[in-house]
Amino acid sequence: MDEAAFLARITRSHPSHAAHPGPYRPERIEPSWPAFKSSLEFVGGSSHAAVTPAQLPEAISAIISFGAHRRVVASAAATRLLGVQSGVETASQAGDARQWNDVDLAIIVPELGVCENAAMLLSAVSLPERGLPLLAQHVLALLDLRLLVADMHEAYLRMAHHRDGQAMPHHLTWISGPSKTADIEQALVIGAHGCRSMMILPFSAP
Amino acid sequence: MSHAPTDPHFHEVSERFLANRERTAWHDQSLWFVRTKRDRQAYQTPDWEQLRSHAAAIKAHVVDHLAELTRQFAQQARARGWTVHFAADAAELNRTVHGILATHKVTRVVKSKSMLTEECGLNPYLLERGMEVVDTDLGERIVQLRDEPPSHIVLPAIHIKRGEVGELFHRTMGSPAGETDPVALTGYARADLRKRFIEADAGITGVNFAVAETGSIVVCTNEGNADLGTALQPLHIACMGVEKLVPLLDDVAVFLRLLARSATGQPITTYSTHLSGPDPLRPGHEAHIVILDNGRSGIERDSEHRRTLSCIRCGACLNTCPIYRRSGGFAYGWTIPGPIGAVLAPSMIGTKKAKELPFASTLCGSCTNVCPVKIDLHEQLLSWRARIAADGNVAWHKRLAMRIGALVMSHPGLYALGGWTVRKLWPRLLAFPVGPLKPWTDTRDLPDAPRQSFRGWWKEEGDSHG
Amino acid sequence: MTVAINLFIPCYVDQLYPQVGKATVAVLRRAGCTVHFNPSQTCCGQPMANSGCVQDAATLARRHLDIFRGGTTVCPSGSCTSMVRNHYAHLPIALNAEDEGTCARTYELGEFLVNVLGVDDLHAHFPHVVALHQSCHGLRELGNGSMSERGGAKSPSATERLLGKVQGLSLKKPKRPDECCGFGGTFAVAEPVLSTRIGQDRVDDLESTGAEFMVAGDMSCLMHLDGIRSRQKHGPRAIHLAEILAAQ
Repeated sequence: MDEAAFLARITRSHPSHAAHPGPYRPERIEPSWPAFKSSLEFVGGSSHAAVTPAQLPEAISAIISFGAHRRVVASAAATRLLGVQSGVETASQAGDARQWNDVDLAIIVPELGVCENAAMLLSAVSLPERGLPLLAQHVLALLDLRLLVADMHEAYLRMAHHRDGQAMPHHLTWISGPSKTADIEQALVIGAHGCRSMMILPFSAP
Repeated sequence: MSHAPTDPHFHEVSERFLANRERTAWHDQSLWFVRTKRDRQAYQTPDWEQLRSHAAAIKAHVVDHLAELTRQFAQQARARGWTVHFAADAAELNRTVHGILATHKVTRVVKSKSMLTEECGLNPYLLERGMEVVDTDLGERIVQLRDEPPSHIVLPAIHIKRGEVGELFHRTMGSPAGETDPVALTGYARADLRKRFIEADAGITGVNFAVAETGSIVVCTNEGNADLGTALQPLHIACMGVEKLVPLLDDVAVFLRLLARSATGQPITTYSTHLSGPDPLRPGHEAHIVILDNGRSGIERDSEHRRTLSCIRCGACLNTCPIYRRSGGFAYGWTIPGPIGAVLAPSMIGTKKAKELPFASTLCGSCTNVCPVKIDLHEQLLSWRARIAADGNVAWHKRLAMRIGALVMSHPGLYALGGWTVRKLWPRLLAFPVGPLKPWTDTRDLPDAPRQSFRGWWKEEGDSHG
Repeated sequence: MTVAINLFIPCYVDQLYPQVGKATVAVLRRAGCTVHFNPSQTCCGQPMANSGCVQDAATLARRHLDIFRGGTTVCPSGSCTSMVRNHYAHLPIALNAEDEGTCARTYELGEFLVNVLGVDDLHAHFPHVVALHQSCHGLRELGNGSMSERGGAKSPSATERLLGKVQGLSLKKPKRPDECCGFGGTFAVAEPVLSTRIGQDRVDDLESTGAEFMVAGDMSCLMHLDGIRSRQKHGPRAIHLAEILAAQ
């Protein structure tokens, strides 16, 4: 069926013309790391104590050895932040995403963190390597504490995308905690098809 | 087995479900548990009621501007590189999807949760044409392997016990006999489905929200299966009902705050992904959207029931419904069970086939209260009853009883005489093996008939003393 | 100053539970009202409307509105009250301004006492443990109290406030604060197995509070719940709100 015929099936004139209610702006709350952390724990994620940017590589080495992760791959954005680190591969920007199927730990850098639900923003800008945190068994997110917002409304306002006539990137995802399911008798199982754990390593300038 | 809409046989199927008392209790408690998780989120979200009102207003606007928003979405989507298709009905959606897959010589498809594709019977259609479709949501995979439909729109396997899943996975995924631990069983599914994601030639998804402003779709999962089913494969086909539109990107924030809280009592799904056309980083990647009518335009034209197009398919009304919890989804005999199913079915399959469903309710109103977009579900159920009666689909003896009732009640003398007679004959009426009281007295007692009615007392002594 | 009210007694209360009507009269008089009862009244038409037979319901609605015209009506039933106040407007009858006034001034007993008269203490005495069943229509359609599904501040219902002032009464709440009893009008006989199962679960929940009595503002719920209790020979005995408030 072509578009014109399809649209013709939908009545275009009838008595009701409800207006769009406009933007939703709740009372502004200050974002805070404790609030994000609490949400993160609720959704089954974990966090490391906050570090300075200079301390990131050391913290990451400790995390890698504690988890005995063999193949560790950092997104390009993570590599830009950390510099090259021994034991950490930089994700190749070429080739099939399936190359990451045996990754134990993926290191990514979200664009925003939302306190009400521990959601982190990742898009084709911060993560052209979309498949990396999906295929990796475990994910480590390096969260700049300046990028916290209280709720989703503020988050959408703060999103750099779709601003000033920019088009949306191919993908833009909110990821909150590790993958999970409760499809067997409502028993919560962490680690469904995506990552089996999600750790946040927050950082801020000293 | 057919996944296509069938004739509901609510009375029969629910009674069979109820015959297993213990299992009914288990099913009821599982769903009540989900309801209480939703409640906790609602209580902890200070602007919960304002959020619902705002979401309801956005969707009311959408329903009133469906054609304009569809046009805008299609235009924006094409600008993003989506190939946009329109399907009048289920058959056309199936042909369209199959056509795209066949053009790409696809044989292995992974599909994330889409009640719309259930509605259309897409899986059996593709299967018949030699394509393998693997449902990747764990609950959907379970029911797929059991060759039965989902019994809930969000929790497809809520009616299945862990022992049954264990047996199923032992047969189909090589888990050890007797394994019933959900963590272990999920592990087997993870391994099996990971292979499928890697090997698939195409991914089919549903659409939670379609953003007209940007030509983007939003797909929400906890498992990551929609993402794994679209990030790796060269072809993506998204199937959506036309009512899934939202006008602005900003609006998505409102719905993302309501959806998972209402559905499962989580503040948000683990993955909430906006996709805007094919991936420029993957040469040859194609992204298609199929926009489906299949009766939605009919609902849009129905001034009494068009509000039901606001539904965001969260399932909260199912979880709270005392009838759904104790009857199971299969009792509704249609793709979508529960209160929302009962108010959509008469539009989608006609008042004759759906005639039992709006009556499978006590009109308690709990559904209306949990609906994140404030559809007045229990009022919709009531108004469908009137339409069903007007269409001649209420049993003649019920209509006759109501006509006689109205007649008697129109004459107080006749009513008083009738009441007196019933009270006098009461013990005999109760003891009678057949008759109108039997459905009651089979399982419940009735009080002794009082000697005097209230009006008798009032006349005698109540009227004095002011 | 005494308030004159028109008493609206549901048909099944009139014929099967006259004591609830008598208790309602006693309570209203104690609250300082003059009570009138028009014996022309019969039925509000709810069973017809719920069966989809809206013409039959409209016939009875027209009759009801003519009988109750121009006064304040009080009814010891949330569902009958809601039928008049909320659903008459959706029936195929023409409502003039006076009819709309009649509908708007139709109150359930509990809400009338608390919200209209501003009275919550009837100086009643009922030294028993009582479990509260919140009838669905009184709660959700009349807004008689906080609904467990909603966000926002919670406040006690009119029923709760009234029972809270009854001397000696210990009020218990079931685990599921406002789940339906399963009666649902004609549903009770059209889907008897399902209706009974919902009711059994409700009686179990109310019984688990340790209460001797279960109270509600609707005798229809109680007829169903008590019928189950009686058949299974255990559970709290049903009593209507009016009967407790009338107890001295």
